[in-house]
Amino acid sequence: MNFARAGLRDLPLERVASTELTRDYKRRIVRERTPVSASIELTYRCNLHCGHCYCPPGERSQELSTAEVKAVFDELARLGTLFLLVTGGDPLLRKDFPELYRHAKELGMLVTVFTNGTLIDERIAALWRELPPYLVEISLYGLTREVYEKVVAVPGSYDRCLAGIERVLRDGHPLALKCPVTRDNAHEIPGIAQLAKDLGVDFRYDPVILGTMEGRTHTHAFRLSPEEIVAFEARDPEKDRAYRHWLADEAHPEIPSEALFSCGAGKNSLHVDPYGNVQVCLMVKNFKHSLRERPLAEIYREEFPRILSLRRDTGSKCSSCASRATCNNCPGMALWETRTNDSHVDFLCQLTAVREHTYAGALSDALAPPAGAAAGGCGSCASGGGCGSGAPGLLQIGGLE
Amino acid sequence: MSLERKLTRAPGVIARTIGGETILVPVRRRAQEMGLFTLNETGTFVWSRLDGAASLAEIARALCEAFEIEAPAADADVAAFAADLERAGCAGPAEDATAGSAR
Repeated sequence: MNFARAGLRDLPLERVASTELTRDYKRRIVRERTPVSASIELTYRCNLHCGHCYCPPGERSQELSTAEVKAVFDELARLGTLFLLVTGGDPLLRKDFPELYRHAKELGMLVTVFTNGTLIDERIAALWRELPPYLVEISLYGLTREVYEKVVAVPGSYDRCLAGIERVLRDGHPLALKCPVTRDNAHEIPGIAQLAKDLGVDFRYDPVILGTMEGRTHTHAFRLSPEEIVAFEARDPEKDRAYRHWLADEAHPEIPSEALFSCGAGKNSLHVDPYGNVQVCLMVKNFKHSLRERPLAEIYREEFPRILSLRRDTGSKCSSCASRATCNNCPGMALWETRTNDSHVDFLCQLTAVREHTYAGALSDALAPPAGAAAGGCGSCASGGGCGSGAPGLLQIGGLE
Repeated sequence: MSLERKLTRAPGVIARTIGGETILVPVRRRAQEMGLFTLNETGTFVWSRLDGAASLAEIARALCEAFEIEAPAADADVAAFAADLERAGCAGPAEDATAGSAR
């Protein structure tokens, strides 16, 4: 007998924080390519009409059926998914949301819900009291009714959003607020941040408005200029400090690898869109395989390694850019802006240049340009692979942790 | 804890196997409050037998046979483990349980 190895005396019941779980099992999970995190857009439909929104209108008739979504959850549970993000559109717009949510919970997944909050009624509140969500993230688009409803273009929605937030808080669920920064609401972001602080919940904002996932650019009209974004962030002491640390102090960013996907997309995660397309992340829509044609597990096991082995275009402007390590461009952002995965994005090139100019005292010493590249010759360049490279406080769509 | 007791897995606690580990995930309580629990091999063995029918003594005997553990040690450790599970809200007396949804 090897009692010690059998381990009954060796703390058979070990409590771990859920946020530590992926660290504790990281080695094994990585080796086995367990998709411990997954995300699903239940719909692209939404009851709000934000001009900056990146989602297409949404075709209800093409969406996965109730049975199909439940089968996806069954398969994810079999594959080892623990963290499940349910997003949209607004996922609460689906009438079968309670049934789908209940199914995911009863499979033992920790479910995070991204929503605009306006559809959190007493029926949803009762569901969540019975089966608590791991986290609810609500987009609060303005501090005042005037600004909020200008952004979302739906009268009466402000009060419904606040009511949703109050229900989540009343029932004690973990809550986070977030907001995209637009020309209409930028001046209210500090107020939303203060509100979140007063409520004791996390808050994050994202000042980078991209084109839509279909490549439309009407959203650009809503975004701040690169100069305005950097000035805006500089007025946020926390973000200002983070950028100073990230760009100029001891934490010199690493230059991304030559892999097209140098972030964590698809390694231990996957994404499913409303129509059953399986992707390495929410943003990368051009490499997709339909689970209506092939089993999800087969797509994850056979297609993802092929996608993740792709190399970036060494002839692209980004590949020789001296600023690629500090740029937030990624295959998803590039796709939405340029319809390719490894092209530079002018807007991000400019944003990176302004950030470096503002913050990078020691940056030029830390990051020598690659051989053959003219120093500073890519002043407007954006490099791929910035996603997950450490940029402080940036929204990583589709990420769970 | 008496070895004559019969415990059952708490409704609303799901055992998942992820990365080769058994993880107890709360369904009806917040994960941030209850926490997640990992079970080792023998812990998983005991957990799977908490069906409300077998006494802790019977489970301890099965453990002895499966893992070649001395009976006194198995009795003590099963009792301690069961107490841990009960304290954590992952198991309870069989008579209190409704449908055991653990799997």
